[in-house]
Amino acid sequence: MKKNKNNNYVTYILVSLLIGILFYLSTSMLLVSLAVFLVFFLYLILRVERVYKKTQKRNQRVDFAYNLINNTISSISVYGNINEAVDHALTTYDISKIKEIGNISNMEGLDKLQYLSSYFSLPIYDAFLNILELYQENGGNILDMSEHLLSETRQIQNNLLSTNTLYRSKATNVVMLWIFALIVPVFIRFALVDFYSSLISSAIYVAGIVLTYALALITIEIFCNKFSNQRVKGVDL
Amino acid sequence: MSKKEKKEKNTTETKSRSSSSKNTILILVCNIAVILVGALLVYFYFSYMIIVIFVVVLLLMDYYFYSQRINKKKREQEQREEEFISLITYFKIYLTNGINVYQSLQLASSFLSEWMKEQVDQLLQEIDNDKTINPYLNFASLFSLHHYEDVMTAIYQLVDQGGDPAYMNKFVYTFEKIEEEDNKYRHDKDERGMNIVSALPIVGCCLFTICLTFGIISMLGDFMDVL
Repeated sequence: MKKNKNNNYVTYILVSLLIGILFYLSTSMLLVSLAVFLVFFLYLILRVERVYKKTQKRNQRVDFAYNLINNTISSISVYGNINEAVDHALTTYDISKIKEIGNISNMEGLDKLQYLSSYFSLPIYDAFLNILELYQENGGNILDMSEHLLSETRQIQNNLLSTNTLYRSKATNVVMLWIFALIVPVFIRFALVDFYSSLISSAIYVAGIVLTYALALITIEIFCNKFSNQRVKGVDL
Repeated sequence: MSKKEKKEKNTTETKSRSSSSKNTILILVCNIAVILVGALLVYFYFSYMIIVIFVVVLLLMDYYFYSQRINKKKREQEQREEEFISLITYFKIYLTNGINVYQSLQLASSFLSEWMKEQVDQLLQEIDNDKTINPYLNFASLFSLHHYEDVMTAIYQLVDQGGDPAYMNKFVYTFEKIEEEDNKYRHDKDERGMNIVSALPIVGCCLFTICLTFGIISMLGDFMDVL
């Protein structure tokens, strides 16, 4: 986890440095380039890193919940007993690594699942608990009882996966387009060498470059918003 | 209101206040960043044009942030439509496990917002007093999408026919079609949003090209003056 965090910081420094260098190559203004580097670096550390961490945690929590639902129902269909099935389903997870969940090893099967409800905070998980209570009271075939629940879980997982895939592919497109867009002023500088010193003294030209970089920052903010504000069936994740 | 519900309401209000203050801090930081960069540019190249450009950028940025609030009503309506789908999804899960319509609606609404819980409570009260299709259609009229009426009609028919399996299948089929359309609509909406964002680098390039053109023209103007 710490290694991942350090990797992220190195990436942010490199990206901010690249943007600062591109700005300097475009304008030859050291002070403003430093300001651009700082703005981008602080933004990446304070906003993007936070969104990244929040999204990672959320995705892990949601994956855990859906896999637990599937595994528990499969285990109940095999063992027939909820407590045994829950213990079996939970063996594949190292819950002690999740700080938000306390020590649940002393609890019974259904109690453990009910305790985890406050960690997951997902309506589909609460619906799953209600079905287990029904099964405990009335018996029956757990697979038949949870048919619609499992299909719903699958559908939500597929929707989340396709949305995340869409965001990632669009993010890659946008990053490539922005790299080309930000390199254009650098090419202009080296292509129009004779006119460059006159061009750089034009305030409008410099303002145009600054606005382009500002638009790049706005694009990152829009992506951060989209990544962090995913909802599933009217519920914030 | 029970202690737990009061605590949940307070938590929701605190979360919304804290997210609103985070938004305000973000707006302030962005404004300060733009003013800082603009001030540096003005310090090196004093020009009324730069001041005008940065004031325009500041106004556009603030307009963007505040338009998010203006679109709040539209987003609320969309949120309610998402909640309807959520309500009927969980309602279907409970109903197909032998729980009656009344209890299924109550259990399903317990996961959703206060507004939805109130509307479902009102629907259940109306059903107690009026055994016709009207309470169901009144509930569907809260949402702008007309095909939600089909789902409520299917639920009414199910209740009217005493839970006949044929009507249960009809309800499940009707709802699953609407759910599929809703998922497709949301995915397409996300894709459209992303396509608009993908156009921003091109807008950036256009902006730069316009400024480059003005820069070259002003440079040529200076050369003409010298000649």
